[in-house]
Amino acid sequence: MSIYGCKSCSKCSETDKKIEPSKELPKVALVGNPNVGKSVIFNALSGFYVEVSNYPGTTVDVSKAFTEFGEIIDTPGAYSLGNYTDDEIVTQNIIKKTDIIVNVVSALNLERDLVLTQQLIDMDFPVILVVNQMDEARRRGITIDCKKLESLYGLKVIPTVAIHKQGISDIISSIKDNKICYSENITPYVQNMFRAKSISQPEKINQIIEIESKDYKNREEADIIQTERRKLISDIIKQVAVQTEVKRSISDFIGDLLLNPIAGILVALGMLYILFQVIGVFVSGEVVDFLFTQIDEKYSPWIESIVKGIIPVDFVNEILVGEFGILTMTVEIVIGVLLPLITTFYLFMAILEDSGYLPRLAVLTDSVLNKIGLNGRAVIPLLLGFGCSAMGTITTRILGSKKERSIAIAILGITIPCAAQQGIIIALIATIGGFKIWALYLAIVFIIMVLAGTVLNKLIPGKSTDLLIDLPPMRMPLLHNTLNKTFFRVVNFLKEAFPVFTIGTAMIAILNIIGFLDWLQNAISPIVVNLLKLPAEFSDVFVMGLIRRDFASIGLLEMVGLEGSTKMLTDVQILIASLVVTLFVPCVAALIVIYKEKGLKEATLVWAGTFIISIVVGAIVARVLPFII
Amino acid sequence: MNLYEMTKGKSAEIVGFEDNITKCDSLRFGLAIGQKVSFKSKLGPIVVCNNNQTIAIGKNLSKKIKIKEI
Ligand SMILES: Nc1nc2c(ncn2[C@@H]2O[C@H](COP(=O)(O)OP(=O)(O)OP(=O)(O)O)[C@@H](O)[C@H]2O)c(=O)[nH]1
Ligand SMILES: [Mg+2]
Repeated sequence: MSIYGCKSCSKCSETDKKIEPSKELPKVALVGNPNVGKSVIFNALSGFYVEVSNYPGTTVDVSKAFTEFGEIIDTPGAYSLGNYTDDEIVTQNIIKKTDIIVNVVSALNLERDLVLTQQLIDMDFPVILVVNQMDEARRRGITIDCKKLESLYGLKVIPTVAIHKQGISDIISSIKDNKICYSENITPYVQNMFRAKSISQPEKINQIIEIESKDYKNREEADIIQTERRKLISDIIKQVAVQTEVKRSISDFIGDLLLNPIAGILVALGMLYILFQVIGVFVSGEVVDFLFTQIDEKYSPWIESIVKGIIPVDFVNEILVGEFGILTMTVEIVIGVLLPLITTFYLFMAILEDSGYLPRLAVLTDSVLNKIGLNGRAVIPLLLGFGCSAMGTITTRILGSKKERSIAIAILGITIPCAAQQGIIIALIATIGGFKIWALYLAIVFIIMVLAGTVLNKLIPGKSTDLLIDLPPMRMPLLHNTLNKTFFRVVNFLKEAFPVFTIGTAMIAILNIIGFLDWLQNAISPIVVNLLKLPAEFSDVFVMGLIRRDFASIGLLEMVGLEGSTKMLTDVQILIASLVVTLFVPCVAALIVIYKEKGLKEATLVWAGTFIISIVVGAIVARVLPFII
Repeated sequence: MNLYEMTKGKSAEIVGFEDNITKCDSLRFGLAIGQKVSFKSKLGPIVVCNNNQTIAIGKNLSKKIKIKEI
């Protein structure tokens, strides 16, 4: 469950089936720097699944789960506890209300991570210190003496390898036995500040945060505190950590290779090629063909005969198993066409997210993204948007400024087709086929993205921030995690698609019966016929697209002759239709997220903007394209 | 000299920051005055290593971080 109550993506909705809370249970918050493994530990402690990926900023929302030993809270990673970024503020507010703080640090970056620990100690929080990723540290020749660390800090210190569940039971027993201590190892300056007076803890927290905030007047004070902290930490590190030289690992080698300009670009292109071969050729050809035919020839007639046998009412039959039937057409499209495409795509994304490739891609794309007011970090939400717009939109939280978030959200809304849309587009373009069409389609979408970015960058006031990201080690994707993540995302897709398709189909059927569709077709046919040069029947697709872009596929696939019907569209028209569908308004789920993140005004602007852009682009392309193809 | 001008293959020590915001930003990644970093790559952003961490820093930001090579 999330405190924001968002349910539109699988990032935070997995923990809904909670055990009932009980009054005496302590609140336990997992706090630490990004990418140290908090979410893996959350999953291990709670038995639920929140997303785990190998890049900083995976968790953007707070998740909670109730267990027999406490209410476990997963927080977004923060480098510090100031009021500097949204993540820091979120984390700060959480820990003020928790009973036990489990501070997770990475054995790989003890020196950096302990800064937050020291801050927690200075703020007078009781802490359990978890040193995670011990396996990786060992492989890199780092040994950490956790017993020594424990005595130096006077805190319970637990070494863990969370991905293998090592040390998790120690965390649980420490929580149960209430082994939570206050460390005496307070930064000297802070100690002096609070020595004479009796100051309440909230007051201490506020004072420290104020001194360390970026616009505090007396900078020397902050400097002294920070220097003293670093000294304390480096003294501790000297006593507990030993680094020995080891051979460079394959992970390092690959990681470095990806930062080489030529190799980096070649790998990115190779990746796209593989994706195209797997999804664009194999899955959309063989797999979809097979599944679709099976459902169309075996399942649909079977269900039709059953339903017609039970319910002899024509009107109901039409809705259930007719031309646009919920039990026939919806199943054919959702299971036969969209499901295989989406599953493969999500699996591919999950592997990428787990590998550590995305932050390196951020480095590679930084210069290009700078031109549209973003920095390389934006590649992460934009890529996630190719999976699901709602998910991409939420992930824009990892961007550094309001301006960047607005630009990224608008680009996600305008140009980035989600997996479901790609499903339709791939199916559509497959009916024409050919590299030239694909190249044209991609070129046009890319040009619009650049144009939109440039214009937005000019129009939206404010500043963009510079790239600053740490590149985690490349890791072998974990089979368990990739499959889990894909599974939850696919389930989430089905959970959304089926009801929307069902209600949508019923609505269309009713609108059709009362004659509204005919009326609407007439009303918008000037746009469709004159502007877009598409057949008047395309108006239906328009109406369906307003509900959800992938829902429009029902009408579209029919028009290109996939449903055993006759082909109504020419090749040029198919490309126009594909473009309009790509650029068309965000689905309701994405719109709700935009509204929650950015408010009504911006959501309306994105919606209206995408609507207008899709029609304008469609109209232009309809006039230019015949000269090219 | 600034971090962006760092020579390929060299190591450097951070000696200062142009403004407080740059300083706060850098500090969160363990880049404080006196911290030693080594060059990793430069393709737009500059990528450096400190301890076991690899950090990518955008061009403009890296120009605001003062270093001396060692
Ligand atoms: N080798 C190894 N990898 C780990 C361990 N724990 C976590 N990881 C990996 O570290 C990465 C980050 O894990 P997450 O749980 O997403 O980290 P997080 O702290 O929640 O990160 P944010 O949500 O970004 O703050 C993933 O690739 C994990 O597979 C561990 O003990 N050993
Ligand atoms: Mg997380």
